Amino acid sequence: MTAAPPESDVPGDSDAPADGGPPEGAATPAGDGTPAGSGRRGRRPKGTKRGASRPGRGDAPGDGAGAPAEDADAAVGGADAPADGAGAPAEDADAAAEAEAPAGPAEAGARGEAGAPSEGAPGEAGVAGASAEAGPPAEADLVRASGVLKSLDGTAALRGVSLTVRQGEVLAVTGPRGSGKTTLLGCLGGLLPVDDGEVWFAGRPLHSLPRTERERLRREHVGWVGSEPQLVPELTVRENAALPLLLAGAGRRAAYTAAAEWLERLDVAGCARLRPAELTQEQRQRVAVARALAPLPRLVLADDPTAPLHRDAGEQVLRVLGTAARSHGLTLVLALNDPGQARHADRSVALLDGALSEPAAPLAEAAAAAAAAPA
Amino acid sequence: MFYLRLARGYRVLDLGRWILTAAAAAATAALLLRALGRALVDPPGTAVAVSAARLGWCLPALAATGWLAASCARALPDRRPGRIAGLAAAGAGPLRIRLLVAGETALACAAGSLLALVGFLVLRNDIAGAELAPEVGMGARLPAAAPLTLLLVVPLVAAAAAVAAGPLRDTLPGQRPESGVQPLGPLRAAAAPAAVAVGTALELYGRHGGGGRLHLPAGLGAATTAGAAGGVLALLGLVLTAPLLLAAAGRLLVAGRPYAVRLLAGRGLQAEAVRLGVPLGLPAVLAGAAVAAAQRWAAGHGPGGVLPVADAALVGLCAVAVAGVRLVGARSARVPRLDLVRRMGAGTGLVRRAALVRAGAAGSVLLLAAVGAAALTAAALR
Repeated sequence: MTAAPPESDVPGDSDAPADGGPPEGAATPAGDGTPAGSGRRGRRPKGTKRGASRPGRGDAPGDGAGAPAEDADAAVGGADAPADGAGAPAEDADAAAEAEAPAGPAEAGARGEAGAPSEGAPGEAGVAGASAEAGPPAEADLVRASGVLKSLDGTAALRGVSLTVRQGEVLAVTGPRGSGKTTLLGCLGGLLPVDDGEVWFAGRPLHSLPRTERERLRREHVGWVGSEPQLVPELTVRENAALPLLLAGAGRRAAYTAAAEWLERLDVAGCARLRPAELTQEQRQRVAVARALAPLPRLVLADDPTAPLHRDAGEQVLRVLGTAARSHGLTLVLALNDPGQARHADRSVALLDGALSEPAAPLAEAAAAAAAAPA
Repeated sequence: MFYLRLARGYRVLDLGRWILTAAAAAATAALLLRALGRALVDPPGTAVAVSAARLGWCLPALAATGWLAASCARALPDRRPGRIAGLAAAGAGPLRIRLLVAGETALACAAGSLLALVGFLVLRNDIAGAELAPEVGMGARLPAAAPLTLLLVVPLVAAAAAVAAGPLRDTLPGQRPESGVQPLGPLRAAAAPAAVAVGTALELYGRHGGGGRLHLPAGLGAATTAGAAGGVLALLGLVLTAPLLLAAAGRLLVAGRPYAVRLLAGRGLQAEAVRLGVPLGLPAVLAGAAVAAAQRWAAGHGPGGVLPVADAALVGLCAVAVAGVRLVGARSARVPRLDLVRRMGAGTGLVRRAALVRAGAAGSVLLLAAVGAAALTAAALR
């Protein structure tokens, strides 16, 4: 596992231990530490590569050159330790918390600690820390929506939703059918323009950007997994997975290579040359996940991705999505019909009739409370 | 050009749209090339206005081609919802999808234009007979830039029309915008009958000697300025009034307390009046005007050239093609509604009778428009 290349750190469903084991409750130290540790190492080079190739992304690391890098190294070392020999998770979490304590403000430290005992602990804490180190706290927020109003066909779908999605977190939006989850996801990713209110995506105002800019931002930085696979029926599976990269103007070789790698990771490499109609529904949904993740977007929006699947297959898809997002430092927003599935997320908010029905972060608070007891 | 890979999934109807667009583009390109050929062999000292007039005759054909391209582009998302959902989920916004479709349209038109150019070059190669030789400018040297410039016009116009086809609507992947009954905007609903009224009044004023004399092209003789302008305005208004007439016919059908057949037929006609009005009204009005003009030609001396006939034929065929494309679109939009009616227990006979009544009502309205157009044209040509 330590020798594994960064690309292979998102396990297929067959690699049970690397998946983090049972996501809820007492996770084993080795199972928890390993994917997170290797994931962090996997995330670093990706992050730097992206920062280099896309000028829009490099804004945060620009302010402080030396110190954050050192901190990040310390965090990587801390997270790597348990991967070599079965290290104690508490020590590991402390190391990560220490690494970010000097750099980030108190709030970031608290968030890191709160996240620590939950699934994928050190890695997640590191993600929060890394983003907090890089700039002022506001820049740790990838998407900030305030007072969003949106009506579809004359019906008020969103009635003043304010929500913040932090860089690198997995956020679940739960609610019954018709509560506005899909519309909210569309507004967060710039797929739908808001009627009123503000949506800031990585420091840019989605609510006032011209259409071309909004579409470009969405094409380059937002991945979408729908409740139906929504693959282009005429294209093969591999071409479907490569499509976002091709649309964003990537080279053909790079696009097809990335698509093939992600299909491999999602265990559907065997049907790369088939048409979507020849696949099972679960395979199609895996391809849709691969398509959303292949360009390594900053934000992945998954709109009830388990809807067309049986429960166990749905669990697999959610687990794969969560693991992939965490290991590559992507931000993931899940819209879920079933509140029970929110355990795959770091944080959960509930939407009801177009409004948030309770304040955010019940999961993180619960996790913090749970963490306080053994400490 | 990756989008072209998608053409592999095309079936007959999609290919039909492609071929229609390409054929219209080929015809328009042939008209443009003919203007070029004539200009090449014009004797020195010919006025610029002569060439400009010949190019001017290509404009209606160009506009008709653009219109056809726009309706084909707008019909594609309805025909291929799976593809549009997939592209949207892959990150293509509405503008990007429109651009992809426009690229496809431009390619179809470029293929048609190229076909016309090949024909033009082959004919120039000492194949054209004495009659056709001046049309293709045989014997004169052909500057390479001229045909290329002319041929680029058609794909560019068609692509621009495809991009501008209808408003851009943001939707989530897989969600189709609701295609309910869209009434005409109040401005258009008022402007179209007003144009007919004003045009007719102008025409009547012109008949009593208002305005200066004007020599009409295409062997139509002479008319007063006011009469000709009024006639054109009235015909244009008549085309734009066709949706209102169809909707009014639908409303008449459901007047009183209709039984199921009349109810379904009338409401169906009302729902499709906006979508089908202009494409059905334009051929009807053109046919009426052509009948009046043909009477004139039969009395006098022919249309005096191929251009007016070619133009009228091209515009009429484009309008028929647009109507066909829209009818296919309307049928696919009607399928869920019909399913609903069938689920409520309506038999096939009832649905078919309703369709017949609807077609009969629409046909009589169009016949009325054609007769009106013929009368207006005959009055203007006196």
